[in-house]
Amino acid sequence: MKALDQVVSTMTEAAKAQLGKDWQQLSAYATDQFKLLGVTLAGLEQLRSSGAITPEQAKQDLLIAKNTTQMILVTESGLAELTVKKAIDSAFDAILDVVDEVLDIPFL
Amino acid sequence: MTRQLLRIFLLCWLASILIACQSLSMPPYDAKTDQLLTQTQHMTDKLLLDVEANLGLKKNRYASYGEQYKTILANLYVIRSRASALPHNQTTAKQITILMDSIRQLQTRHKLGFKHRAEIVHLQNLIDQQYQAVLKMELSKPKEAV
Repeated sequence: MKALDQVVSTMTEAAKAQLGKDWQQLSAYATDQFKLLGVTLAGLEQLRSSGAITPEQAKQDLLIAKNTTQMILVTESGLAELTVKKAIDSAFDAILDVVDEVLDIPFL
Repeated sequence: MTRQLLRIFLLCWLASILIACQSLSMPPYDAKTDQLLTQTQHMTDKLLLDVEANLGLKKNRYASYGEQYKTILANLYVIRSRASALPHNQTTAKQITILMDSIRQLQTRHKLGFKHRAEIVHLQNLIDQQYQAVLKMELSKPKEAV
């Protein structure tokens, strides 16, 4: 198998090309996940070369590992959105008094 | 005049904030989803621990566990239906879809057979990471309606 760094680098470049400007948002945790996927791949290669598992079994294991990577990225993206929402709520709550005074709208 | 301009500015700003909040709205934490998911994770972990304990025995074969897989998938269908019914809950619904796909992959993998403990432990870690991610998302949601 190619060196682990090379595998991770190949995955990262492919994801970058697909995501374009959105890559910056995901890069922090995507790179870690690609490293974990690379480690999984290396582990499967060992099991395969020792004859412990068949190619079909290795394929299924890899699909579950791929799903795990997807799950982590979907989760991190959802959590980031939730953080933005909380920040907007906090900013809005902080100026309720001003809004009440200037617009005469009793929000609370 | 200045006060009038300030009012107009604040109204525009409020409108933009409300639109932003609407597009980013998320449902509050759902205790039922948390409870069902935890139960389903327990069932999945128990299944894999049984498979590991029965390595090398006839009981280890997929045929002995078919009903358990069906129950796990049925639970996940219920959780996904609930998640999809809640507004602005697309992330959780998507997470459950990925988890269901992984359980189906695990079923297929089980049909191909397990011979070594390392194979099962590795897959259990991956599946547990997926359950934890869904729970992490649920527990991060606000505890009260927003």
